[in-house]
Amino acid sequence: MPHMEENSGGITLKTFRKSAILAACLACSALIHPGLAMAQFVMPGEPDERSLEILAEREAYLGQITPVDDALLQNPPAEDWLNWRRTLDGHADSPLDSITPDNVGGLQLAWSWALNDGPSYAPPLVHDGVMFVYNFGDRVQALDARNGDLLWTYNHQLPDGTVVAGTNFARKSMAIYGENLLTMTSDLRLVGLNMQTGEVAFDVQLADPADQFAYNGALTIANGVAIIGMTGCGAGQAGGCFILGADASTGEEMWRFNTVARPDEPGGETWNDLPLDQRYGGSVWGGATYDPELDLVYIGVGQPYPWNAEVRGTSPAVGGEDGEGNSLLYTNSTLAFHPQTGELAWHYQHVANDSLDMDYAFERTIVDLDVDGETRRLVVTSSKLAIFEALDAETGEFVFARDMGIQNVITDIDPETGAKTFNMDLIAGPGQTTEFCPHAGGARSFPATAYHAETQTLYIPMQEHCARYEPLEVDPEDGYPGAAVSWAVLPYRNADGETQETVGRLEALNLGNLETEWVNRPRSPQSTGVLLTGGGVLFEGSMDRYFTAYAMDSGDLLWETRLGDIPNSFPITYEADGRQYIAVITGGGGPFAATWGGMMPDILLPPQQGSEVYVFALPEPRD
Amino acid sequence: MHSLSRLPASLRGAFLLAALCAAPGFSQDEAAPAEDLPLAGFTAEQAEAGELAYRQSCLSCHGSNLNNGTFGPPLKGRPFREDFFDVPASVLFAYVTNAMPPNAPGSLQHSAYAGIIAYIMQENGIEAGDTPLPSNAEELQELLLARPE
Repeated sequence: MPHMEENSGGITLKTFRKSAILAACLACSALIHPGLAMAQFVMPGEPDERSLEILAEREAYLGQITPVDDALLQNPPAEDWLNWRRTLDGHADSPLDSITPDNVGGLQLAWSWALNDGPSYAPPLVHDGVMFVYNFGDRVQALDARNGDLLWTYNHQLPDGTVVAGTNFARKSMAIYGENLLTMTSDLRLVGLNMQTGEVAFDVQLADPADQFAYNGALTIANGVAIIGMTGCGAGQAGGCFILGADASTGEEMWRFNTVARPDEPGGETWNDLPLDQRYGGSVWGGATYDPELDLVYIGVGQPYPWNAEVRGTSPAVGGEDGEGNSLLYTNSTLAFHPQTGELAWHYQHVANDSLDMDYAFERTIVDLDVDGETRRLVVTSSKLAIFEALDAETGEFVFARDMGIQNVITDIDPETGAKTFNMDLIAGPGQTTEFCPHAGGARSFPATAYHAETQTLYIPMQEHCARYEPLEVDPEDGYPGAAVSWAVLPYRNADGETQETVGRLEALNLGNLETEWVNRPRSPQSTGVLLTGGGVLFEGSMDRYFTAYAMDSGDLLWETRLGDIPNSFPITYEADGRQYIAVITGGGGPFAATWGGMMPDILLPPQQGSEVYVFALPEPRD
Repeated sequence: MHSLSRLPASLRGAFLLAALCAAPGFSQDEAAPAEDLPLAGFTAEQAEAGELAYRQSCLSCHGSNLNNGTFGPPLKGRPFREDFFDVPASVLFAYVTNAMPPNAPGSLQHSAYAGIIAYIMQENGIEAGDTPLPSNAEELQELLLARPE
């Protein structure tokens, strides 16, 4: 029976009692039906007194979880990690300061917990000493954040025939609101689970997976509204993707915004006269940020499909000149919404008519900066090109751009408008081959930056590499062709044509003066978002399975450990019973492993995509 | 005769890697002309099992219809057939066993790779028959992966 939910618990006191009642009822039915032997229904064991005491203690521990309102999300306790980037401005900068550059070398594994294998980007969320984890394949668990004891489990029931595989089953975050933990499911339902019990508070179907929409974003709550972007819109959905706002208390849809403009709506004239059933793309596969003062939520949109403009029919421009008629709104744009109404306050398109899969889909960090003697609130983001662009948070006006110097396809950025000039010699047509930097794996991808407001420093995980692209000569009779590019990822070549042996790059960029404070170039690609802590220690993971601590002010390596697979959740920190913990989830698979392996075949990974929560802390005597 | 130069740029590196691994699919220069080889076939059961393996290991990049992948190139249609059809079936087998899936090349059972190829053949318009597709390079080298009529 599809869509039937169940809480199949770790054995809590409550579920134990339920099982006992069930066994008793079955025994009764055996009496009614003498043909059934009672022995079939005997429970497999009798719990001892101590286990009942422990189960009662766990139930009491769950019972102390308090609700989370908008005020708490906007100003979270230092101990908690309530949102994918901790705070709604996307800074991922925790005030917890027990772990310092001086003592981080003593960090040890405090506990770990195995999850369903698969790509696992979602960070653990922590509230009132309870950790909530998302397992690949729609299992959610509550764990005691102090020791990893299982407190409850929710197993979402997927439709019959569902094959659990691929990144569409990964999430970038769950969310917390009111008394509930919220998660999007692989069959595109928004489920609210009571944080104390794991029981379903609401379960609402928001889209149809049969249409090949998918959700692998980071659920974000803005002013009581869950912001949900659909992805997978390179799979041939005519009309592209959408963003919706759902009531975070009930799961009910409040509004919907199409990321591919309709012919009869604003922006509809920017699709080169293509009918709606030939407009593809506009996936939303990151998370949102929210500014409560402006009441604006910021989210990014990916590129059009197929990748190449000529293949998809948006070049050459109808009328002969590239311009407004083929910019393809709202692909590769930043969107600013009022969350309660879904009203679009402004949009800014970073790249028009993309041919390279450069995806302006990642986090929008909200910062206050002095610009020409005036403090301005800005939204900072970058696509796979690793050009960081700042927009006015209230108006969307372009303010500045800082190219991290990896890409070589954009030759000029207009300082007034941010409009970009491409070297069109590097944009191949169907059947042609060109080489350029970076590859569509991204000079940066969804592993998010972190921002330290005190020093105005943005910490950026990146990869340095190049690409060979051959857009395919597709036959319209074969139907929609997907990305329709044959590609290879190539080692990075500098301006002198020399290749380098490193791919990873972790950089501290001062947004006040746009100067680099420090840069590290490890061999392996970065694989997690950046975590900043109040003790001045930065945490980051890489595809070679290392999880590493660096000094925030110098980039000096302070501590590292090697995990069972790729650390690929956003790392977090939290405090429970006065002790600071660092947590990260491994998972493997996903776009990184699918992209970099061809260029770095020495980085070998477990094929089973082993997923596990690792929790680290400074040594402390065991009770 | 199959020519590496006709392959998409992205595949050539993997082919060289495969050649370094001495995959039998690459000693075809010494074999009979490909067009004289008997045709590779597959059974409906193989294609059915192959579809499941495809959904588990390939769909994420290549799409639910084999030609609607959001990241990987299409596995049906003219460009794909030009590269992998009208050559011994060992060519495609060598490629997938050496390079796919990219996060764990070679991690599937050879019978699963053969099933995936059977499913790809079916989706490219070749009908299932009574003779299963072998799951070793030596036998596949003696069979032609022919385009559908």
